[in-house]
Amino acid sequence: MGSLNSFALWGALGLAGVAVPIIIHLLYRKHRKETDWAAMELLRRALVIRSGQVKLEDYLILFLRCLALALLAFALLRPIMNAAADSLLGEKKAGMIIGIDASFSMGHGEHSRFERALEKARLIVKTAREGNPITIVLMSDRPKVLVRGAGYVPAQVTELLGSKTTATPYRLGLERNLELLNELAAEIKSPGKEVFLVSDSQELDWANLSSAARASFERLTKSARVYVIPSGMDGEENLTLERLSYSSGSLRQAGVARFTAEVRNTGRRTADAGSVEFFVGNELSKRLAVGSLEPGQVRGLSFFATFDKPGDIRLKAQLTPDDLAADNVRHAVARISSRVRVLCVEGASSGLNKADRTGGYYAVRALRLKGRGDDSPIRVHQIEAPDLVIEQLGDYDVILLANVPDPSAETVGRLKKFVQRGGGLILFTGDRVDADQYNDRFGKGADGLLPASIGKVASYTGDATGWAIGPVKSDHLLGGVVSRLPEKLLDSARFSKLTGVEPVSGSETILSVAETGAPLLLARDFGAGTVLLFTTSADRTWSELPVHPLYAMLLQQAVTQLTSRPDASQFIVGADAPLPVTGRQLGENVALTKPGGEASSIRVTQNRDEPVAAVEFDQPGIYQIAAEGPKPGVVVAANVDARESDVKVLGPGALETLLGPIGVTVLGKDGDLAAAIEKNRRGSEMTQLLLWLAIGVFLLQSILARYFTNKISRDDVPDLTAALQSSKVAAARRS
Amino acid sequence: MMDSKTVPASATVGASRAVVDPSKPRAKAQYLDPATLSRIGSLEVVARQVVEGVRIGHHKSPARGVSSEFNAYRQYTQGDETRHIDWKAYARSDRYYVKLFDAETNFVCNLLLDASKSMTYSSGKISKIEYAKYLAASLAYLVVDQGDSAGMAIFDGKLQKYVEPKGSKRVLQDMSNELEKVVPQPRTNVGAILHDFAHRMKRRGFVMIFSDLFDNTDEFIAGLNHLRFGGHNVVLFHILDPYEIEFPLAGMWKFLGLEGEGEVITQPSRVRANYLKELEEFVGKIRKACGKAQVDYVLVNTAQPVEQTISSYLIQRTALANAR
Repeated sequence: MGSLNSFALWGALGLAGVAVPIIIHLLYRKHRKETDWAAMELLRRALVIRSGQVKLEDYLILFLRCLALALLAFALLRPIMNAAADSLLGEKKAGMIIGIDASFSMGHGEHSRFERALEKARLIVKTAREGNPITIVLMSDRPKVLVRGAGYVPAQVTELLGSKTTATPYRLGLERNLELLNELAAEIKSPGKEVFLVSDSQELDWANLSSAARASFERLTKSARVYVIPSGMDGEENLTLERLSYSSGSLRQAGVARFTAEVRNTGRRTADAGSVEFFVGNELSKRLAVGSLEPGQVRGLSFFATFDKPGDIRLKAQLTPDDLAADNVRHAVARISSRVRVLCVEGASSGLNKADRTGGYYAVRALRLKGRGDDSPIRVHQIEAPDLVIEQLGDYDVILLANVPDPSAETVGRLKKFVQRGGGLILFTGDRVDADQYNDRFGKGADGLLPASIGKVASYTGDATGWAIGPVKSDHLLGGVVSRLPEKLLDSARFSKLTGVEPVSGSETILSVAETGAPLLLARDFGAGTVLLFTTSADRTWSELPVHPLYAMLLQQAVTQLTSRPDASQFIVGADAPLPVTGRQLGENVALTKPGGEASSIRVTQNRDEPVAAVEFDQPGIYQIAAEGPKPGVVVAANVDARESDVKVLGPGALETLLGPIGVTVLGKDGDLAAAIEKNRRGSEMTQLLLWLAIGVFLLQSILARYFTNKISRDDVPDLTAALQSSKVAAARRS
Repeated sequence: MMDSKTVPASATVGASRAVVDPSKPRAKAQYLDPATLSRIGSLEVVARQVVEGVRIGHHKSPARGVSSEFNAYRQYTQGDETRHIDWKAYARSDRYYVKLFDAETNFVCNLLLDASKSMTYSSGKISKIEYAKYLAASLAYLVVDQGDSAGMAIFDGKLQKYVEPKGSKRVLQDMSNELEKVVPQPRTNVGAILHDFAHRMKRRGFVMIFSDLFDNTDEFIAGLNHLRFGGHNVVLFHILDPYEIEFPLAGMWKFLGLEGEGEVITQPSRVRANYLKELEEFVGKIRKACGKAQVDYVLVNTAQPVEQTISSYLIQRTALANAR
């Protein structure tokens, strides 16, 4: 026995309801009228005879009224009987929630898993009775409720589960959907609740249920009978193009950059992966054969692209079609700049000896590249720290501070604004940097500009010439530059002094020293820009890095990274993102064009003091916010989440083992599906019966009340007028 | 409760038949409302039996005496006045016969008014005691107006006041004064009063009782029989309020006894039938006792106009007396 409505709420209301006639009875007794009375003896005699009977009748009527209200309150509780043989007493009714896995992996196969899932769903709804509440959800990272608690109308539901309904480009997101199913189950008022999850039961999602998913399942099984129904499949083989990204090179006009596409075999067998075609703009740039791939093997294919003109260049890689089309295409955007302007701010004075040359000296040479002269795509302007206050920071793309002591609060404010608007900031520490002043001016923690709080300077005390660069753990582009260098070359870069730092939340440590793990290079996004912090000096006083080949590579790549931000233009379908829209006003509308060509308008909002446009990535491809005059546009790419491409599934047996202990039933065989559902269906709602009983009791009390009243009226009431007359006549006759 | 000195127009069944007009200033003899009495003035109170009287009036006496109405002959005996000898009869029979005439006498009427607390009950129109006062005063007027004597006793647990019977209209003023002074007291004892009166009245006369009789019924019946045993002609006006007769109250009521009987809380509608049965039994018992003792029983509903009560009673009595 249970109830569909809150026992506490409706129970309290029921008690209050039952109390009403009693209270009225008591109030009625209390609020009586008073009168003097002469014929007390007659009245008392009348009471002696009647009172017992009247009381009994009164209490009977009161009891029946209370009972009617109690039954009504009980009916409103919507009690249910769970016994199997309860259909005689109540109305056997099942509220049904069907969750259909609509993640893009469900598109796998010639007769896709999603089509099979729809067929299963149609079989399930056929077991519902017309009018029973039914909810259908397409489960994915963005679940879509097709119908919510509506009475079952076969024609409508069949249409909903027809061919017009397709899988989404999103991942499944099991936890999120289980939470939603719990909410939907709570909404349904029915004695028997049934939740059906029709899914391909990917290993990825189901094999290792998270604690949150397990808890959701447990909650769900408490309120409903939960079934997991494998959709069935054509196979588990799949090749996925899981990445297309910038690897290295110059993202400037006339520059050459290398891009890499990675193909993975997520199936269980070795497969010939066919080829990958690369497109720059809409033109096929290169076709590369992938070759044979072992299960789980990933192969990277690189191609070089030359950019003749600046702007946002669209790139696409496409894998030979296979059973799952959604993960065979990748998009990317390369932001090509015409010329980069760098402001190099020198904090220390230059000495006479070569060894005393300042950090700015080395930085300028690393950035300009030998032999390019004024024709270099990177223009560097070098100034001394005091002159920073008069510089127009907006004239530069990147600012490099080398051992700058004590920048003023105003300067730091301008630098913050510069970075927030998309500028790049590179800082080198050094002996002139005052840690406390830096922390104070640049700010600490999440509100500060720096990727880390500055600490004390540590000196190398070992036997070697200094600390070496440790293994690269970051997948940052700058880390990639280092990791691709020969080990011997890398080992020659040594550091005798480092500024101790404490990374703040949201920052990334790209390089660290091998011996202590102390950070060497950190990055942090701030607004639309990025800050890079070297914990060593830009000159040779603390290390030999400025004269090491790695130095130029790092600075060149850093400037490319800071100006083109190739990673910032890649998004996952299903993840909404606020895109920085520099130069736009709050509340202004920007025009967005989606991959399919649909145009929409988005209002500019604010996110951490920068204007942003919240874009919903609901399909793979290129998204463009159009430029308006001097206000630059934004072009980004969105791709499906490659993790969903692993289409290997758990069999019904494995699912049973996994889900059985938490009360979930796995129904694996088609033929038994409807019969198994009907067999397990139980639970009857008593509401209707109770309502009828309440009405019956109410009518009974009305009839009894009327009967008792009529009985009183029917009693032999003497006609006193007649008595008066007869008495006179009698008296007169005697005379 | 209403002002005990006034009777509202609503006390009557029909406005045109109002007993007392409350808008009129109180007359000196308050309870002798001319409007009421003018309607019943042509009626005469006819005694059911011939009573002895001091003064000659319209009522026949069992004693033969001086009168214009011939009754019978009897043989002359010594002591009879010779002027009553019927000489024509002597001529026919040669015997001396004396003509006998019915003596027309007046009678003494005592009006006994119950002034106990229970008589103060009113359902909002007129209290029983007020009604009884009007009724008694009206009848007293009629009695005196036709040349008989009227007296009045006001009692509750005991005799409170007694106005000696007189034939002059002065007695009406005395009665009215005493009625004005009535202060109702708890606990009636009508039976004892009737016994007391049976002893007090030396000559047979007329006794009118005005009471609700909410008392010991058996004692009252014993007192009634005592009066009748003394040869008195008794009329009982049993005065009840319309609410006491119909018991029409609805809802929950608390009844407070007027003579210290405590209180009762009940729903009248639920006990009405039984109450009315009890009332009928109560009235029936009294009526039966009256029948046995040859006492006129008049159940008075205070909702009726006073003159209607008097008229209807007297009309019936007169009609039956004439038919006798």
